[in-house]
Amino acid sequence: MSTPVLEVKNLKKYFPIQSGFLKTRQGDVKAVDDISFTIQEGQTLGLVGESGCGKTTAGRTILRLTDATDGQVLYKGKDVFKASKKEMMELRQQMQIVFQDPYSSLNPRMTIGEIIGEALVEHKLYKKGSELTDRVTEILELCGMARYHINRYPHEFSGGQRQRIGIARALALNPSFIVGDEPVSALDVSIQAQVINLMKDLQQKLGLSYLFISHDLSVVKHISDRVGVMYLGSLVELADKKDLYDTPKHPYTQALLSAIPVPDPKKKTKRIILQGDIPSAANPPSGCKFHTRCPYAKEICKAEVPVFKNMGSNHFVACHLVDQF
Amino acid sequence: MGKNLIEVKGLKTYFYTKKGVIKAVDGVDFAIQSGKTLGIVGESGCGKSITSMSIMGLVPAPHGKIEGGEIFFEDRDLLKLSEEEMRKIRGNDISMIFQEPMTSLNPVFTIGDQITEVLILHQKLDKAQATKKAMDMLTLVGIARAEKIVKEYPHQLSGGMRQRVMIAMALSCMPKLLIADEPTTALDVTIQAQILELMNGLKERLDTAIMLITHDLGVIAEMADHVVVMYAGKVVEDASVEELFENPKHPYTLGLLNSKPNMSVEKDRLENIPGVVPNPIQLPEGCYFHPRCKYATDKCRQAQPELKEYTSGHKVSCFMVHKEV
Repeated sequence: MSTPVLEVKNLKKYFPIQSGFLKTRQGDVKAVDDISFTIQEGQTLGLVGESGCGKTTAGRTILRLTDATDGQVLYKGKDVFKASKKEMMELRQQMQIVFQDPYSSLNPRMTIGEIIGEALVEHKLYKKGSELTDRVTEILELCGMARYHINRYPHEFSGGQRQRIGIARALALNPSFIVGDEPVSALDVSIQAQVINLMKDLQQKLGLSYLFISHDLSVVKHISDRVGVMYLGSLVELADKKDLYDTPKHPYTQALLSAIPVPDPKKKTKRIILQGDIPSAANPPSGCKFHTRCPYAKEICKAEVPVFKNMGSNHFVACHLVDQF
Repeated sequence: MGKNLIEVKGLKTYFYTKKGVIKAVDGVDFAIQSGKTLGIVGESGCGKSITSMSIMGLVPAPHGKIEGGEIFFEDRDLLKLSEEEMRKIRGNDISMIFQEPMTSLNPVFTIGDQITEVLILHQKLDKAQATKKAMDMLTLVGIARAEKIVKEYPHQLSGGMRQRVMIAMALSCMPKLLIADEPTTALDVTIQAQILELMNGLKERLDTAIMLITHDLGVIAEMADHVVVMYAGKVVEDASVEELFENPKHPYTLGLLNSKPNMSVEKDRLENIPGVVPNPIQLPEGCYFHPRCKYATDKCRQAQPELKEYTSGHKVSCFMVHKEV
């Protein structure tokens, strides 16, 4: 077994709820509540869940873009949260992120060349000049863009092209691990396919590892090797792609999979329609957080938090009733 | 074969800008019968939303103008009606659900105020009757605590609840035609499943015709009876839902179907449509799709294909397809 690129151990991120004149702490929004997983070299872990389940916060916390409340993230064995400022500079070259919205994540006042070259100059890898331009061109071409795009501004590009620029910026420092935070969600279907193919090609060419965050289960299925399902800050199921999609064990995963509309009018699938909305993360239900919407919930689910346990072949599930399915 | 509730013939909606004329909708034909759902599919900028705006008489003046065509609704041409007559139809006989449930509700009025406004105006109910009716409608769309919700403001509700409120409002006058413009795009999959099931149930119960605009072919397959595929302001394919998914003919439809990751078939690469949607001010000569089409010939570059019957009830606008016959 190869060494993991990334190990996440019991990661927690709480945001305090403050109110009143003295800003006293009233409680916490448990955005990420004790999640653990690993990503192997050259592999993609897909993280799915509905809005507000903490998947984006998980991605940002892993990269130390926000400080974690508790837990550990090891990048190639190195503790990311304990790294000094100087060590962090080096780690940042290795770990990059592609954001969701290609419209707001590029500075409108900078040219494409400046956007991609900024990190190279900041990390003192290149000085401004022709060498820098050559490197930027090289990255742009790798992402399916051309040299003459270098002096243009973000508004001159379409959504798909901007997302390519976002990917080029992440690749500039030659990272080995990239967090993709809903990188294709804002794009049209035909453009989505182009960007997904690009990300897969780059992964093969450069040996990248991805943490791919998305709410779209079919996209995640296409790109991932392993998939984790989050609900209200916790991982409820984590398994190899095939196991998760063929034999989902957690009732939430089952409902999520059955809810996707299938592009085939003859296939009328039996839907599991979940009742109600996702509860607030500031005041999550007791016991198993899913029990309020779970069609199988029993007394034990309200009282005790289920353990995230291995059901064989690295298929992890957090459910009291898992043996009964 | 039943009678058509609405028939759109040769609709042309143009926008006049400083840079030139944008033919947002350029000669679109379709019809919907009572109790049926027509799906309109296409990517951003293909004119699907402007088509619905044209039916509602909401094309933004003075830049936008309906330049030609007829919209027959129960044998009356909507384009020839006065603003006063149109106001009686809008919200009463034809109503609309918008994509963004947050921005389409007024934040300073309670939910109750917003639903009763329609009822008082169109159905001439008094305040008490209208409030009662509003609560009935909210219950109908699956909101449990209707008597409380009528006193709440939009920001107190979740996305799924707001969309239900929008649907309740749109259905409160029992419209004959419901236009739903991307009604579930902003929602999570489990909530989307709830809303789609709700719309299907209501359609059967109230015999409403639905015009469903979406880019999601999965939603189309589940909901629609008939489908119109649009590209750059024109209809490129028009067929029953079974026929379209089983026997798609236009290269653009094929591209759309193939670029979506499929949950049941494992593919290494997604087939994508190269390039981007053309700039509406400088549309290419000939068939608008030819720069992105792998089958394009010289004929496609010079002349524009017409939407012609391929088999009974299946219309395609492509030279290659008609040559095969």
